[in-house]
Amino acid sequence: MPLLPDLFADERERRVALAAGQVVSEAERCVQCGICAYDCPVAIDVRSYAWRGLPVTDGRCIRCGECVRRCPRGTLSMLAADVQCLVATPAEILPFTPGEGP
Amino acid sequence: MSGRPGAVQTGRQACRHVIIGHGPAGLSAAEAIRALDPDASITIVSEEPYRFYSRPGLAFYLAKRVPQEQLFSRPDAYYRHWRIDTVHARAEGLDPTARLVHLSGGRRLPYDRLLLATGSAAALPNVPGIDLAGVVTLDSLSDTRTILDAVRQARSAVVVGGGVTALELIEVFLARGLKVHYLLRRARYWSSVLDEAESGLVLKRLRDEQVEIHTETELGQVLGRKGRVAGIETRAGQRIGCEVLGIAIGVQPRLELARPAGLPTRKGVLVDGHMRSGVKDIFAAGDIAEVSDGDAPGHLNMLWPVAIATGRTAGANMTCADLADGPAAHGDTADAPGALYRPGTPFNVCYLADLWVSIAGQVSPAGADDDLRHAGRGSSEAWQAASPDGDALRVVSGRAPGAYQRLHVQGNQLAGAVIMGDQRLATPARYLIEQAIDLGPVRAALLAPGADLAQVLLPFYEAVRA
Repeated sequence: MPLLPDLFADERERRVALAAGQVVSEAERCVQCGICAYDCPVAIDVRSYAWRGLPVTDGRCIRCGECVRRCPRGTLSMLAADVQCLVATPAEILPFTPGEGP
Repeated sequence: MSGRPGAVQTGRQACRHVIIGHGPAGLSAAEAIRALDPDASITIVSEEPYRFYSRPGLAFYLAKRVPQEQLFSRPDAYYRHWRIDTVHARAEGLDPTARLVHLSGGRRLPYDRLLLATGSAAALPNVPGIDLAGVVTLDSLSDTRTILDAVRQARSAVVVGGGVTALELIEVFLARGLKVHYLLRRARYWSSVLDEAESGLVLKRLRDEQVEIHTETELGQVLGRKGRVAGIETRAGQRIGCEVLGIAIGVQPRLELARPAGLPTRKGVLVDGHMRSGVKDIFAAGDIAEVSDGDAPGHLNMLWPVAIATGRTAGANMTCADLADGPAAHGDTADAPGALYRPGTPFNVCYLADLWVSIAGQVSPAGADDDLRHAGRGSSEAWQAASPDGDALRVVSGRAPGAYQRLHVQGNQLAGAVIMGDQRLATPARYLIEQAIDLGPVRAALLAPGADLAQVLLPFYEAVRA
């Protein structure tokens, strides 16, 4: 029996996201209440990004910052345009949207 | 067990994974199983007739910040796509020998690997009248219906208890236009976590919102009229009229399946770092899991991120035949294969009386909280863990406009932090605690009288991260 990959090592499965002027999320603060998505003027499901700790890469995002302001747990923040962000996306977290690759 | 085909390894017969409980631990386990085993059969059993929803979001829904539908993050299509089956039934018993779950209605559900993620339930004080209509707790979506029914005709509410949930109930009743009385058994709010100044900040804000706070006051009995709450009487004999009584004295792990089935339990179900219980092929995660190595008692963590992390660990290991085929070997798991849960730094962020509060690491000496008779939802027993021997603990507090910070410095490291208001220090403090960073030159600056904690710590954090 081969060893399972250590799914929870901090440095594994990391990739660099070019998060220029994007909303980034801290998964550990998110409780999936959905306020971010509810208040998004272009109806992006922001919390599905937060579940996986990903930056909001949806092309419709207008960077209005409404989700950042409304989140009751400080999960989201707007990253400055010239900052790069390391994002952890452990493989065992499934996307909400069927068909979207993990 | 001989004679059974190795269900995981053959690739022919799908391994049957049964998960009891549809909270963050149960769903995270299901996701991990599916990510690692495309053929696995996955069934989530829940006594609630819903898809996954956000329990921490219930208070936001009741306070009218978000509609109820929004609490459901996953559409039906998600369950179909990932082939996660759901069964709406109450699990009434386990048969670990026959590998069966007995469901309400007489159904029996066979499993190869079983996860108990049954969560916790609000405790009720043992006082006369506690069964009257209008006595409410906040655990589940069905509780929100009860609360909405209760507040509809109500003018005033009494809240008893402490921690996050007591404040959530207060905010809900305020948002619904009720006069709110809050009973505290001593002078402080959440004394197991907050210091006197922090507690005072929260209470001041509640008073500003016209909440009437009754300190040194204990619930004696609930008064009723025609089966409904009409008021309460304190132990000292004072009567307060109300139509709703909110109870938040803590939650208890739901062990009604685990104990009769013979799973070793203390405060919760005892599990090793792989989330294996003491019974073959049965795992536990979330609020009910007491992670313990050897004889040392573990901590209960009623925390959302812990539920997700333990659920993922359990799910990953349920697909691993080497692990699932044996019961937990307490105290000797470091070299075993599989995913290992690392407790990390217990952390939560809560919103208390319109104030952001982040809590991380060891923040309080061991001590009782008279208002919380059980573990509070959204809290960790590890916050009260005794400090290891050796270096004495130094506690420093800082005030800045819109911020109140408390740092616990042990030796050359940060051991704990409570950050209220301005949250700029929250993530840096958690990082420094989690990574056990040597504070080196900034230690003295932090401990200097009147230090601006943010001004000292933020540049240090940036330098460490760079």
